[in-house]
Amino acid sequence: MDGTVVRIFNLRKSFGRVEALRGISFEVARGEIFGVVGPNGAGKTTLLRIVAGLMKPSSGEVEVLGHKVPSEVDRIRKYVSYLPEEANLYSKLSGIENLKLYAMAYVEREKIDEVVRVGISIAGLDLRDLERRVEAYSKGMSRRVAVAATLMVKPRLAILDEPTAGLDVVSARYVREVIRRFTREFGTTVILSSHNMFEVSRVCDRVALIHSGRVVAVDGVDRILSSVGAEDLEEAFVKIVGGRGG
Amino acid sequence: MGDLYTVLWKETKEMVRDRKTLLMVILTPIITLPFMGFAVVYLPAAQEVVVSVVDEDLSEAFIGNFAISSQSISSFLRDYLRYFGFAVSDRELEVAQVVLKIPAGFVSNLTSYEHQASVVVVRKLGSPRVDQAVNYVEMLLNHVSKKVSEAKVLALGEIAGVNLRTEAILNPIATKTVVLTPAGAPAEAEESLRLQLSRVLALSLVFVTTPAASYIADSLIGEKERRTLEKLLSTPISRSSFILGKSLVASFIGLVGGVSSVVGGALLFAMPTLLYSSDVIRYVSPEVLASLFFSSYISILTSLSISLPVVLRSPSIRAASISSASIIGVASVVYLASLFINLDELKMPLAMVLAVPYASLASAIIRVSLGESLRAAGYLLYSLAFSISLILISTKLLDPERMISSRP
Ligand SMILES: Nc1ncnc2c1ncn2[C@@H]1O[C@H](COP(=O)(O)OP(=O)(O)OP(=O)(O)O)[C@@H](O)[C@H]1O
Ligand SMILES: [Mg+2]
Repeated sequence: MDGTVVRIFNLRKSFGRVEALRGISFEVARGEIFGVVGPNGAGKTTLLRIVAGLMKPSSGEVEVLGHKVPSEVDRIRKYVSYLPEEANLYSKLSGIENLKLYAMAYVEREKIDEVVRVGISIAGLDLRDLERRVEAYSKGMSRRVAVAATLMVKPRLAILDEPTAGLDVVSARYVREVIRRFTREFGTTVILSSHNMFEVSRVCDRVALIHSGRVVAVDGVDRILSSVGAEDLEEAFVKIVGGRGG
Repeated sequence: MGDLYTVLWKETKEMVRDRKTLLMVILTPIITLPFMGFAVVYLPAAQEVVVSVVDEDLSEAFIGNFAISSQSISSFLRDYLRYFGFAVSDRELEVAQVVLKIPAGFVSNLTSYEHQASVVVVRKLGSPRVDQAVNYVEMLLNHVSKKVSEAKVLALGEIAGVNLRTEAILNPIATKTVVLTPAGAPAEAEESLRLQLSRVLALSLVFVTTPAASYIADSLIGEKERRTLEKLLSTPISRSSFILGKSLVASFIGLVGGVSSVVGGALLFAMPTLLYSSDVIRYVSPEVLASLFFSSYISILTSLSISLPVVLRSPSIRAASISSASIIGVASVVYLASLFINLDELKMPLAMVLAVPYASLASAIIRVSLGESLRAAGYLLYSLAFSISLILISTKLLDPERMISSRP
């Protein structure tokens, strides 16, 4: 395997008449935090689901860790961890039990306790809280545990669909910091989606701007800004997309 | 870590903590079955039906030296109707549902050798209990009729100077019915009661068919609606472990339901015992209870195995409720039919109904009560194989894209 963790070429996906993805191509290098940015309905979730092997492309090629997706997805599931958009925890289980469940799903029996300990430290919550059932958690607490459950297994690729959506500034900040810190520590490659331009410029090494199922720009945030002469990503997006209509 | 163990661990924890569902599965059969027995055995007798016996004849006559009066006939009728639980009143003719009129001249016709006496029974349309009252009246009148015939035969014999036995004239052919089991062994006549009760037990399977089916449907659709499904499907846990784990836990719910339907069934048998101090309870053999238990469990597996592919292909609450409604529909028709017929004795093409596991399961209980355990075991195994195959096929039907992207 070379330094490329995700390779996407001319990916298309239609739902009946709706063309959600209309020829997406980009690559994500090992260790990178890669942002997928775009407005509601741009196709971010569809793209991430395909990378996670849960949806079939209509056409085009997707390769993750050197394996074709979705045909060979069973061989890489162990190394890929996915946090779906608005994913919830199991409300009848405690926070710790949720962590244990995903640890059991990914690692051998001997390593479960260790992985759960890592999860607890990523979640950064009181042990007393983590022992309570999730039905009593706030949205912020749940998301911290969900992010922890996704990262604690030290995946080679983490796919995070809007990990901070709906969180207040403090929780969102915590989640962003955790993503940066632990993925660097574990050497995890990340694909993260967001429609929060500010967040993406803080967290991501490179971003793909997506609009109506097409990539309109892929590059480091600074380079995108300078190429269109914009102050921030939001302005850059409007400048790029403005010319295309839409 | 074993995938299947992981799914079982999670599902069991969730199930045990879902108190409401658990209580419903346990209590439904324990409460409904005895009530069913109560409703069938006790309630009809508690419904008041008023019967009037109106004697317009008020006379007496003799056959030989055997005295017959209309008063004695009507009080005989009244006493026995009361004994059978009917309200007897001669005053309120308008409220009486059954009126028996003994017309003037009745006794004189009854005692003559040329005329036939007649009574008029007037009945109002009503419940089965009214029909029952009429049946009793007819039965009692037959009894009187027979006594009168005997008296007449004896009197005529005396006149003719012939030595005779009334039976030889009134009933020259005697019929003796011997009851056998299907295998040909002699059976007590009372054993037909056991058969009847086992048919009711087969009907009781209706109550355990739903919980597991709705449990598995809710478990799958619930994961989708509570937004936990997508992450679970992306983990290394295999699809077949996911389905098998959920099915096993749902079938455990079935097991619990099976046990409580056995308890409920035992209470159903106990009901007539408690109410009428008859000893029907001795007909509950361990074999019958065991067959009830296995049939319940397999009935549950069947229901969940039928609803599984439906829910996997179209994971919406609507699809789930349609599928569970049709499961209850089919199961009720089959179990109800087994109250009246032996489904395994139908001719082709109707005999094909036995391919429906519910029909096999009902037949299994009935066969056990007839002492044919081997045949019953065959039926049980068939239904078990049916549901397990369907569950295994379903593990191949799970399509994550369909599961996560279908909209209600
Ligand atoms: N299962 C589906 N069936 C039909 N259309 C779909 C389905 N999933 C997505 N779409 C359509 O595809 C397009 C892209 O949707 P997608 O959810 O990928 O966008 P998104 O960028 O994630 O948006 P958001 O920011 O709102 O999460 C939309 O037009 C959406 O309506
Ligand atoms: Mg989305």
